[in-house]
Amino acid sequence: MNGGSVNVYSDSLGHTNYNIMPPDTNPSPAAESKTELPFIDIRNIELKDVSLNYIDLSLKLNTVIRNLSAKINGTISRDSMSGNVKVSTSMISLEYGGEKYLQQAALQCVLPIDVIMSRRFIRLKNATASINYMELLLNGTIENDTISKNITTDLTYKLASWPVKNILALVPPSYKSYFNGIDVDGLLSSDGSITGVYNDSHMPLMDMHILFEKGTLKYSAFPLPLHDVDGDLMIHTDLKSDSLSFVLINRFTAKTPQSTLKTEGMVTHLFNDISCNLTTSAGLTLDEFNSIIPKSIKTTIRGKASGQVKSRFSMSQVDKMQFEKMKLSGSVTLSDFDVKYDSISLKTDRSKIDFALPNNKPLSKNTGFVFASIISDNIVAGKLASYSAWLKKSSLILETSDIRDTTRIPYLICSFSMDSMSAGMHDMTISIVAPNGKVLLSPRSDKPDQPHINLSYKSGELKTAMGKNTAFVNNISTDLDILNDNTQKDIFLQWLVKGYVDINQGLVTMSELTNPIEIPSVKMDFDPETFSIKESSMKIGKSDFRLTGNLNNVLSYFRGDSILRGKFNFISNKTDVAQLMTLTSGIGTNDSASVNKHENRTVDTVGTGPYIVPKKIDVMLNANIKLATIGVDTATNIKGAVQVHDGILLLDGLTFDTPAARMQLTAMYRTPRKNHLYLGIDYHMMDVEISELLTMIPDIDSLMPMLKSFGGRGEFHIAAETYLDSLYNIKKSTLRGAASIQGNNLVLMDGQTFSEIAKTLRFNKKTQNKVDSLSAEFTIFRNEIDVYPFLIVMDKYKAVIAGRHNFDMTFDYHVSVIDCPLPIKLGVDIKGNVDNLSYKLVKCRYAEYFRPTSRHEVESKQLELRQMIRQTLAEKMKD
Amino acid sequence: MKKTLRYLTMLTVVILFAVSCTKEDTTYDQTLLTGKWQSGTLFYKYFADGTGGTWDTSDNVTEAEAQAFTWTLVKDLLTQIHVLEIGGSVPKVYTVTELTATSLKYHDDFGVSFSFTKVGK
Repeated sequence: MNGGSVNVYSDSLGHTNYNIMPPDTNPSPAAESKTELPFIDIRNIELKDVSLNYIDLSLKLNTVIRNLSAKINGTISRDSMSGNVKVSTSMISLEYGGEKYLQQAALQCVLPIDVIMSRRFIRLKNATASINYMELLLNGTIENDTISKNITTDLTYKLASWPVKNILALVPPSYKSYFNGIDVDGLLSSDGSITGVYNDSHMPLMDMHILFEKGTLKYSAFPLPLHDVDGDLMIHTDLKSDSLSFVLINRFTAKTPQSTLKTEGMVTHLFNDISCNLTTSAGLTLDEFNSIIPKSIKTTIRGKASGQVKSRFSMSQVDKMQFEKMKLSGSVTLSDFDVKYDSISLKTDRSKIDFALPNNKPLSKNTGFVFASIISDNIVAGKLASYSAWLKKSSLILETSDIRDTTRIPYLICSFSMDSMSAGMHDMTISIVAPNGKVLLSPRSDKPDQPHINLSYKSGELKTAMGKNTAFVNNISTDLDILNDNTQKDIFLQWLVKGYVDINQGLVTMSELTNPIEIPSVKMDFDPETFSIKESSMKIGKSDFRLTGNLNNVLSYFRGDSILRGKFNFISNKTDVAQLMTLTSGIGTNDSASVNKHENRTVDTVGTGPYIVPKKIDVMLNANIKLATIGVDTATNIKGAVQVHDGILLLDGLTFDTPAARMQLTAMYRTPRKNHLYLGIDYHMMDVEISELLTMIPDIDSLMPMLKSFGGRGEFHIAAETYLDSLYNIKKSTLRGAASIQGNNLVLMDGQTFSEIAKTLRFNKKTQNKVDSLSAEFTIFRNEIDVYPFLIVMDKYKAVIAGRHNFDMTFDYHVSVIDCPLPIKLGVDIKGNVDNLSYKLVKCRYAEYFRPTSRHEVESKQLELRQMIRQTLAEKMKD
Repeated sequence: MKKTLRYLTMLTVVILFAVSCTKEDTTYDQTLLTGKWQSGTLFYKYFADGTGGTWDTSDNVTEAEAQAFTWTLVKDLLTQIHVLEIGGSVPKVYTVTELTATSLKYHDDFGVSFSFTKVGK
């Protein structure tokens, strides 16, 4: 057939134009016997340039074939046909339901075919068909069982290198909108098979191998074009059953201009909940992803990220964020990574991040949710004009429980180590060599929304500075057990810490302190209530000391429930007392009501005023000090208790050696307010060299000026108290004191007093002027020093001396000579001041003073008071 | 005999003289002492139980910060025992020369006199 056209038409009721025979009105035979086709041998039917129009309104189908050239041959025998249809050229247009599916598409095919008509069985033998030169190879059989209504297929197919653009060109116009903004190309190849039964409830099993090569993709919503898109995947499905269906991605690779992406794996459960098991590798140049980040986020990234991620998840898990059911693991390496968010930045030249979700090898039963390991060469993080931190060769390994549960603190184990770390913020800096440790975080058993933290930490050299204050530690190790109570307002109460700390070779310098604090070692256990110092040694200026003991009620102190109590052994080779007092001045004295009720607040600053004894603490030091200095004074072998008790500093029975004597000192210093400071001393000196005593305590000369006339050793006791103003000036009206001095075989020095007395009483200066015994008591009250009558035995004289001595250096003394070479008892009144003394012979006032039977009432009273003075002084003496 | 009589007469005169020279004891009502006494900036406060306190406002000391003492008044002898917190006692003995409901005067053995006015209970 050459040329010509065929027009086939069927109206909406199925009436066709080729049904030109009248209907058969003869009744059908009762039982029509089965008829068979005669044998027909079609050697060759050839169509050339034939047009075929087929319009079927009932099917809404309109098909136009132009330039149809075909050859048909075959045989028909009985129930079967066998032949070959070869369409060499044709242009086909197909419209269905108003949609144009094909427009002048070039259609070619070679269909070697066998048909068994009774079985509706078709066999294709290496049939090929192509549309627009995209060739499809088909091989196999199709059988339509009209009884069971099954279509049984056993087909294989193959297509090779179909250009994707050509495929997309076949997309009907109404579907083209789905591809708006997408510019995709590449070559698609596929082979596979379709086997099995198709009916209302079954689909045949399709096994397809798809190969995509040389692909490119541009998508308007994704600014990075993809190229070298290659894919190799297998699809095995019956289009119905999850158990039979899967997609095996043998390979999928794609490249952006600077990045690569590769994935492989399996996709299952295609029809209910798509599940992926993928291994994805990427090498990303992060700079090119900046165009994806919205400008409003103010974030830029630079550098490279490469690595591999293994993932196993389902779409429903992604939708529901069920990370606990997913499996994600991988390793990502960041190179020259630099991310900036607003003014915050993070840089690393190389960091390797390994992670696993879930954590397959958890260290505890509670930390199986996720594992991460971050190993970095260098990390620099900071905020512009604020803070910055540097980590060098750091390793951070952590694993946690599910951190998304906001009702409870997650379990976390974090190990860290690094070569060095440094950080700075404003004028604060810190640098640490080789910090390493481990943090365990867990919810509190009683309050799971609050953390319980265990920290083990060790580091080498630690340097920190804040302004002019610096601290240095050669090495430090600590174990901490920390409980958090976020209901507390005070930070000390929020974090309850127990553990131990071990510090070696520390050095602290503070601008408030003249000298740095050297800390050779500190070993301390502590819990919220108790600090137990096992070992500590410090050097502060000229002072060095070792401190051991316990500090109790620490938490209660900060809660305000109790005063701070401590008991320590304080062992020192040398202690500068004034220096240590300056260090501790004013601790805990923020209570203005108790300290500063009467003073001007503006001048009441710790450090500029007097030493304020710490309040609300009760600390006792059992001191053992080889050498102590207080200003110019020194003392050695000091032993005793030093106690600070709620605003009172008490030196309780300290014994020590001075150049003058072995001494015992009890002293009390209270600071009820800044301008009203109490000082009380109780001093006992046994076997003291009087001249040394005057050198050591020059004020005694003012109290008892005649002492400088004596030489030798004696015993001296004094108790005195006074209040001081803020400049440590004595408030004279508050001065009280009582003293006692005793001595035997004292030498009367050739002093001024002696000379004057000896001259008046005509002492024999050639004899050794020894005083056989001296026992005197005197009191101090305000500016009055009352010397109670005392007897001195000297040479051939016995005399009783008594009187008053004022702080304005005026005297009013009386000397009763009760035994002398003359048969009379004489008295001398000595009055005036040092520059202008007057002597007057008077009646002997104390003639019977040391004769009990003859003593007068007043004299008895004076003796009684002397006895009381001496007794109360002696009560404090230690054995 | 005449000589003996002369001796006895002299002795009698001496004894009478001696007796007449003995100081006459004066006794003061110690209940009058209780209360607050002021002399310039110096204050003393005597309590009936034999305790008391003293302070001087010129030294910026308040009544609440008064230093304690114990006291006795025997005849005209006022004894204050100032007790030190640190231990030890400082006795002060005065001879009272006037004690009324509003006035107190005494002096010590060195001739230093004090004069107070009662300013409160």
